[in-house]
Amino acid sequence: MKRLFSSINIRELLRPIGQLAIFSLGSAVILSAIVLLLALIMDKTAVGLGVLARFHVSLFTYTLVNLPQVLIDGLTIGFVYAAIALGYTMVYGVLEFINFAHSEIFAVGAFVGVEILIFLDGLGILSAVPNWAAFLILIGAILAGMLASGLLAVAVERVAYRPLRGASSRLVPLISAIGVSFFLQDAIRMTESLTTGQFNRIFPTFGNFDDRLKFGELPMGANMITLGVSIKSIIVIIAAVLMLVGLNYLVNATKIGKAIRAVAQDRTTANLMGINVNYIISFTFLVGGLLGGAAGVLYALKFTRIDPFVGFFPGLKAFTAAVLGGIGNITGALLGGIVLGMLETFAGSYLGVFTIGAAGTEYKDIFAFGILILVLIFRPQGLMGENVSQKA
Amino acid sequence: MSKRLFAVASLLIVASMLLAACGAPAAATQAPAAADKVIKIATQSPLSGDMSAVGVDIKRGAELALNQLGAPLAGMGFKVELAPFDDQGNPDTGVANAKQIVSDPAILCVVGHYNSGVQIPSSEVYHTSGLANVSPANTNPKVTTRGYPEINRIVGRDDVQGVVGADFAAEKGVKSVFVVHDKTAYGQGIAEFFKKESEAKGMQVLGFEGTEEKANFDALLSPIMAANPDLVYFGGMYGQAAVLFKQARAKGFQGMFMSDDGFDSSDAAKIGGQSLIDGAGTYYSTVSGPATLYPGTAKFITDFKAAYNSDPQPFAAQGYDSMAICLKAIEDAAKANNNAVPTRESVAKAIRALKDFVGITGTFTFNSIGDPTSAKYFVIKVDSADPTAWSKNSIAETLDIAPPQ
Amino acid sequence: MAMLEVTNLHTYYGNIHALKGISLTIEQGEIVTLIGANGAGKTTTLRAICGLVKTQGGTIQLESEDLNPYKAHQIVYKGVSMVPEGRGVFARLSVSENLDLGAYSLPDRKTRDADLEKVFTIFPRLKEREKQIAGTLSGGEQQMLAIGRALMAHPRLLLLDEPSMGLSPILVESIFSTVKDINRQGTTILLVEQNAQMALTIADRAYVLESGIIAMQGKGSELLEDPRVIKAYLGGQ
Repeated sequence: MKRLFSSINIRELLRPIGQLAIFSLGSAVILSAIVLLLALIMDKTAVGLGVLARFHVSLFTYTLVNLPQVLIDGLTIGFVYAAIALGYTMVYGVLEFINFAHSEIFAVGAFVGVEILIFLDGLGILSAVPNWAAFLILIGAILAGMLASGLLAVAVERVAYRPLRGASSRLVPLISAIGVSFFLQDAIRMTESLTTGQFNRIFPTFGNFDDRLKFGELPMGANMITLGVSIKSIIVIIAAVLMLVGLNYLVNATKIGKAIRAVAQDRTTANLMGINVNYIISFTFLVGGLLGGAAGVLYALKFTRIDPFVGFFPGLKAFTAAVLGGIGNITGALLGGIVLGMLETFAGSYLGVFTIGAAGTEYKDIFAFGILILVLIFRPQGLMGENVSQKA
Repeated sequence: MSKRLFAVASLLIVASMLLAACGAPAAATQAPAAADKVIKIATQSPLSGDMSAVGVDIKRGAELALNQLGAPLAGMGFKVELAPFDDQGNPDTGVANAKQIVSDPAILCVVGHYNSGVQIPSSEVYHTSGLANVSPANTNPKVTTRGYPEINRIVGRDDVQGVVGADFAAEKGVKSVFVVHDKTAYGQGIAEFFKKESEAKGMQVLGFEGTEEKANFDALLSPIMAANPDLVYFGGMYGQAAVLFKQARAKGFQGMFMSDDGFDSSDAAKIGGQSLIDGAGTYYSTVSGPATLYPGTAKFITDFKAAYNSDPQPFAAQGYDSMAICLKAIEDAAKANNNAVPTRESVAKAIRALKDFVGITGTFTFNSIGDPTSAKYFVIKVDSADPTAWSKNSIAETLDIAPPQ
Repeated sequence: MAMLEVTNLHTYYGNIHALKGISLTIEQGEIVTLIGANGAGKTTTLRAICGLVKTQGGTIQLESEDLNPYKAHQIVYKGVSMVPEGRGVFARLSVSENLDLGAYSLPDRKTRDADLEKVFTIFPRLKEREKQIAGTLSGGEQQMLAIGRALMAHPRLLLLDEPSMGLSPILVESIFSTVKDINRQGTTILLVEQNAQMALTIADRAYVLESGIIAMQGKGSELLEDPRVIKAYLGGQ
């Protein structure tokens, strides 16, 4: 027992949690400082007067009072992106190949989890269960989604990528990945239309996931802004942290993790160490798929409605997050996810006010991606790109 | 070995592309019947995807009308066939289908489109060959304001629908609104009319935002929660609206929600659930009341249930009426043509010549641009979080309004 | 029973017939060297033995067991370790992680500490650099790491591909004496070298490869004196 305990590398468990805290706090502080500064500067301009007329508070107060909720929301969506980005980055790290089908692997996880829950709901089980049982059922649905996505990812690699691994151009497997992506989208659509006949699938309401923990209220003029976070957001954040810690531990502190990193660097030499490269690559896809599947079910939990094309936008955003953080780098995926989620939420929440309604929430992606391009001009390797020893 | 797998992979890609492309030409492959007096009437509506629940029932409504009302034409020796097309709610698909439709000379009339954004470009194609189009559901003003002689609709218009919604809100004592739309011709159009009328009625418009977001409305909700309006209006479809409303309620919004006829689907209750009932509740304006509301629909509902084993979705009855108008116009045109197959142009003319045609959802006479001379508008209150009770939602207001000139 | 028996080995790279019927034998405890010009097929022979190159004709037997059905990663488990040309250290991993990967084929970690100790005794420099990232080591240290990593797998047969490449003469001498030490402790060695002088000096026996066939063979000391070898490979003095 003591030996087992001593063989656990505590440092590798704690390190990512520390990084998470630093990244979250860091991006929160930097972005908050920027908007507050902007608010101070613009307080006396037409922007500030417009806010004063509409909400009867100064622009600075408006910005400050809304800030805590924006931070919470940004962090939540950031963790969702990070969880999906881990799958892209794992595969890229090992194969230097962008698995565009990851967004559909994510969608399959979401569908499997939701279909199981809808089935249980149809049996009348879900509506009656106490909260602790609801949690267990949710965990079961997440595990089922993970399993389905993990196996699917392995199968996709085996069928559509492995035969092309020796291809002369890197574009060949990339095109195959795009093909798989379309194929899976329509496979989901076809399966749903043949079985349930439905396009939208709704995450059933059960347990207390929709409840909201209220932290308090902030006065803003005549209005009160309530601060809160829903149980399901907390679940998403905790699950994403667990996934990151687990993956970090797997890659950096286990034998198979060392083998993954060895294969990532030099497949031939890895072979000479007795590492079965095909097995390790399959395993990498399995892990990426498991993470994607879990992210899919969590996404459905958080946002309620899914459809066969549900993977596209989160997939694109998560891929972006992975590139922003430095693709191939686990810590980078996490940082990229948090930064992108925060940027997007900040932009969406404040753009309308700061531009006097000229450019509202609809421009949040343009804004967030504009910043992304700026970052990549100055750091083409991504935010964490230089930290090669982390590469996995 | 690797060559074979490569082949498998390429096949997969090809298969995926085929899958992506299929769904459109379901009808085009039907072999022409032996008789040369075959007449086809096409339907175009989303049979797959996001809006298929409503789209399929538009087709079913038309199919039911053809089965029940096809006798006079059959008596004249015509074989009338239904040619259903799946526009997927997608303008590109709709236009591609429209090109196929106009190239089939047997097609004399199109019952079609659920989405204005699809109907408008598709009807440009119908217009090139003078093919008559009766729209069961498209409410964007542009559907008729282009003044094409072939294009008609049997429902009301967004410029009226937006006004109806805003007037209703004002009656309910709403002082401030936040308007959101989906950036489509339909949703944005209706939201702009709503906004304009709200301002005219003295309500404060605290925001006007477009979004394509389907899942995460957190960022959009920050300014909404800060503005704390009495009413959040969404111009667009239920797939976005219900998710937005649910998340707004979760964040503690207690005011009223309002949307348009794009909200009229039982899936809205499935997504929004109790959050639609809480607070000041949820209303939507529509040009298509529940089928139960119309005087002539009792038999239709019974027949529909018997044929398809489910309650008709909104616009199914309008699908029925659109087909009935097509059939009647073709019959009139054929009679004027010595019982021979009429030209497309004469069918289009025959539609405009109809006087007080009695359908199940109303009595129709078309004006010079193809709008019905009087259309019904409703404001409906969501009464229950249970999706199966959607068709029992109560009507808060019914109006008969002539189209604006 | 020979440690390794290669009989009539043929390989191709595309249309190029690289090895045209090579036969060689290595007895338990020997150091055997394979010398020859660039492109003669030395590295190909090593890669064929450890499974990285597909053989198309002929057999490779390790203690009478045919290696043909096994893939490269399985051959390690049979007791054959290879130090590849250019060392092949995992540049972004630390020295100790590299060494751990060398022991990947061993089922348990019980012998890890003892094995590490053994490697560190042979290469004390590696102990000083244990936590360092392998890519930051000097060329000589990387060669030590590559050999040490191969030893972690407890090989019975160690394949060395050009261990002297790119090293200073002093380092070459030290590496070769270490190779001799490893051999004395019981590991059979097949050494491929361009530096024929050094290789023949420490080898028990040697084979000379020319264009994919064995041109000569004999005791290392004998070949050192052979005029043809002197002319072709030893600078003709």
